[in-house]
Amino acid sequence: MADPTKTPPRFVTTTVEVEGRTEERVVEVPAFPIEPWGPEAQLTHVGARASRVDGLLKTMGRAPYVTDVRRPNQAYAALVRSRIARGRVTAIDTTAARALPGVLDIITHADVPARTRLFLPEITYFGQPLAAVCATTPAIAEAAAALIRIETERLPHIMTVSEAETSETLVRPGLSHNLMGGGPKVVERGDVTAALATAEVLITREVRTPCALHSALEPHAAVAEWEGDRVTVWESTQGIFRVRDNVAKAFGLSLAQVRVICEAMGGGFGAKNNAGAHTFVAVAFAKRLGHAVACVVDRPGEQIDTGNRPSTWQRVTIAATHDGQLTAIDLEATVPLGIAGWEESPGDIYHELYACPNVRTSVRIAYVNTGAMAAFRAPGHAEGSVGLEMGLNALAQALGIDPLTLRERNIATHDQRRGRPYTGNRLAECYAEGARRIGWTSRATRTASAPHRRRGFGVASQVWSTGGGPPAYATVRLNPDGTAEVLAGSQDLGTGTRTILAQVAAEALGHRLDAVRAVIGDTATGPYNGNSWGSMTVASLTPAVRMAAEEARRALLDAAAGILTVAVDRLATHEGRITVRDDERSLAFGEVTAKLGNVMIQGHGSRGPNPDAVGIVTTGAQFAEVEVDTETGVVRVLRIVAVHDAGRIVNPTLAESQLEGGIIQGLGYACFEERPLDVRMGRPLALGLHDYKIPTHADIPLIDGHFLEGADPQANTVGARGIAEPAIIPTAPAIAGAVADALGVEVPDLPLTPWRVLAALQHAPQRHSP
Amino acid sequence: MTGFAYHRPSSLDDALAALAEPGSLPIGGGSDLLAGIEEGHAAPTRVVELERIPELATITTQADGGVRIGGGVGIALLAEAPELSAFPVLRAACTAVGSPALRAMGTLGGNLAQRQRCWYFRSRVGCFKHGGTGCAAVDGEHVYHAIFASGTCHAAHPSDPAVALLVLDARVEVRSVRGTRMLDIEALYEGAAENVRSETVLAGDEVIVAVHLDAAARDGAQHWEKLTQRGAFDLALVSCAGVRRTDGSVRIALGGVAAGPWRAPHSVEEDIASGGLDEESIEALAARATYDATPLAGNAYKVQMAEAAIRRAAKTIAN
Repeated sequence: MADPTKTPPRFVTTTVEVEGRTEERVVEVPAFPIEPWGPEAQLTHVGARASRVDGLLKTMGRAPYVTDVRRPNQAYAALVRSRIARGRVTAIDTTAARALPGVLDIITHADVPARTRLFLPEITYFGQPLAAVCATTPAIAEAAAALIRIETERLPHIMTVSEAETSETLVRPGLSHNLMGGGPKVVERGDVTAALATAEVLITREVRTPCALHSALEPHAAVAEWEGDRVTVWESTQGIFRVRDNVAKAFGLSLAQVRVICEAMGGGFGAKNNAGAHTFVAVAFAKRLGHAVACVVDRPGEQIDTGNRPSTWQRVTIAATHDGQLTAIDLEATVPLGIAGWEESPGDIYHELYACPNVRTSVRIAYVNTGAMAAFRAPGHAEGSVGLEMGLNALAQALGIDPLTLRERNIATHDQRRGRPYTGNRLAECYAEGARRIGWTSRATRTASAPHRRRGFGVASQVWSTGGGPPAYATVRLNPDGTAEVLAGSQDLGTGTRTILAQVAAEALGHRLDAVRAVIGDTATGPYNGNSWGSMTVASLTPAVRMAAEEARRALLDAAAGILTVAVDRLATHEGRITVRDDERSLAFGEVTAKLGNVMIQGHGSRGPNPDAVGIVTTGAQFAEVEVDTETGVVRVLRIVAVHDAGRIVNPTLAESQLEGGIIQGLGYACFEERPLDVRMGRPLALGLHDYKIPTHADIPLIDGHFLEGADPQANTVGARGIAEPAIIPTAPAIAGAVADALGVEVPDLPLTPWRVLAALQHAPQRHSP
Repeated sequence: MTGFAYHRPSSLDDALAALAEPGSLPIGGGSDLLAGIEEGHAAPTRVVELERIPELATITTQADGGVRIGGGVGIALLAEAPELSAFPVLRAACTAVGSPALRAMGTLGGNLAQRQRCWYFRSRVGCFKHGGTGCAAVDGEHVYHAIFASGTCHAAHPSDPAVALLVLDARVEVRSVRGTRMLDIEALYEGAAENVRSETVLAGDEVIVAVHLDAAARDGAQHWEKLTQRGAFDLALVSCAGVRRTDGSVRIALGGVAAGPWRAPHSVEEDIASGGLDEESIEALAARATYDATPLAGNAYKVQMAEAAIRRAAKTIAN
């Protein structure tokens, strides 16, 4: 029994999952307990379809993106990049560039702190920055960059996993082996070999997924300005505090010397998690020149040097009983990672999505001489789900079972990867609702629009850890006029964070939504929050906002109780008014705060620890309807139905919008997107959005996105889980399944281009119309 | 991008005089030229605007029913021009160009004279048009490239209208300070696979003043299809234009398969014109049409696409 005289510990350790990785973290325990909003909670603002608070600004072109920042005497930097994939710099001649009027400064390796790791003379990929020039205008900077002559000694490059494995050459200095970890990473549960040996039904498939580029419409960009020994950086980023830390470390500054601001963002998708070369270049030039410097990555730079989702090769073997119970899953996969990156394994989802006692994944991740990978919306899972789901479709066919039925029979009731329960998994309901919406059982009656076209349907599922977690902080303060501000050092990637924080605070305060404003995107004004990544922001931050608002509300009620001379427990708040139970009297928030004057009501909120020994996931299913032209191989996606269980949805409009974004991105991954690479030259060939094909408006199908009603009070006090990454995971495999269904033959490699479809059709059995 | 002067001429003569000076390039909507300047394979010191010159900006229907289209007329305008209602294949081809924004900016002359979109050419690497030797696409990445080789360059010409104009027997009126000449649209692209500076035969000082459509090309049966990966903003993997004239003669052309628009063999056209084709004979003649195709290792699918497109064209215009 706890000793009541002892103060409970203020700091405890909890586990948090970030994009598939589990991290141990010290967290602050909230000062007072808050009853979670369960599924039955009657809420006014949370769950409402509130308009995006900065929607008008964005529509009018007035939202301040980094490229809109204009500081006094602002100058512009441009990067000079390597035109070879591997080698070393032997000489740099900047004479001609320096002579160009308007050129202010040029920096190379010797001019920057070693910790920036900028302009390394060892060239390890095409597009590596080797120098930078700063000028009075972007055009002059670009022209000068073209005048910088860099002599290089070329060395043979390595572009494939097999080359990386067999070559004596290391792709870059500092490696002990071209394979990450020196060999395959094998993870096994149960006894796969034994289960395969006794399999009743067995299928094996090989699939390939492409290298995909984030292609955010807003490029990476930074503006830096020094004031004395402190620097302010405006950065398009998913993590203002992380950029702060990166800049402080690279330039040997204290954290108090660096301020990072991100007001508006035009897409990150995982590629804007850190400071980049452009950040350090802006900071370095700004220091040398004594005025602000902007560095905006151009489109070719975006496409070759800001990260990617690496391609994969996957060979999946699945064993099952005759009635469709999975008995073993065996994956062998390879990933050419790029010159750097982290272990985002396509194997993880194999261990988690479907119930199976015996699972083995063996993944060989190789460093190669191409641009570094970066997290890209559901890194690993989006790739792995393609192989797993295509394997499952093949199994359904071998068993003569409907592919949806096969999935329904193998729902994972608990977290098999870590041996613990989920707070909830309503995947079965997602299947049922999705099937109803797409008309799954009557799909055979839907005929194609022309004799040379075939209609097909596919289904795929999704699991992703979306519990978020600490540390996350917010302050809620009431102004003398009764309006409220939420202060949080988070950022709005375009998802609607600003709107959602205001909704949660208005709910917890009992305030009007239009009286609450979220102030985010500035390390100087908001308390710490982590990166907006891993589908974590809502589940991490909104409970802290709620707590801050609850604390502010308590203070407000204390003050009101004094004014009204009633007991606090008789007071309630609703839409900006304080009412008294069994009493006619009421006060507007502003009437109380006006009396207090500048005695400020402030609430502090911190995110409490996650529940122990339980997995918090978002699950869901997506269904695709496609038509394929069997004469030309052209695939058109007609409809995507998506049903996900993400606990409480704070704002359905914004959530559906994010779902649509993920689905469109997944459609691009399935149908169009791949980074073309000339392996002889070691260079990527798509330097813009002409050759790297993201979906256009004309490609967007009917999207029917739906979230199950409910809340997850076990996960956090708001009951919300994340949705960003769940949205993309099942899209591509659902489309691939639909195409295979249409054709009667699988197209094993993504994207599903006409040439791949036509090639697959050559192996198809002749189908005759009934 | 380096700077350049912008010249807005007061007349066509003024424009031609300006273009006669070295370093000048004509500009229509700029959607190709500006990209070319940014990519570094065009470096004009001066651009000469053509769009607003009256002779270039108008569509005129002649007394005999022929139509003269000014080279500066916008693609979006052409796509809906009532003067072209008797040439639906051209309107359809213009509708298929790029995206709404590109159609709004692009002009017919600019579209016909645009440079190849080959990624080696655009990256200025491994391309004889940029001082290299040969064509890196042959043993490299060439999924979008030509299947009918006509020379060193294996790029496939990106113009959609050119394909429609080919089946309409359009003639191109080209002018410079040195005079005017009329070219068949086919002749405009002669040597496209070998020309370094351009894919057309235009000299540096010449501009496309107009495109002429004969009255004989009006109406009949006209067909257009563009096969792409995406629903918009894509070049043709293969496009196909077909007409059966009121006199019964047939013309079939493909885009996306050669250095310029590609005309089907006359014998194939004659067979389609002769009529009475069943499925099997249509299949046979489509196969015959692509008999001379020389696809590279990675783009043989375009032969299949081309045959499918020709079959469909034959079926729609045969009746």
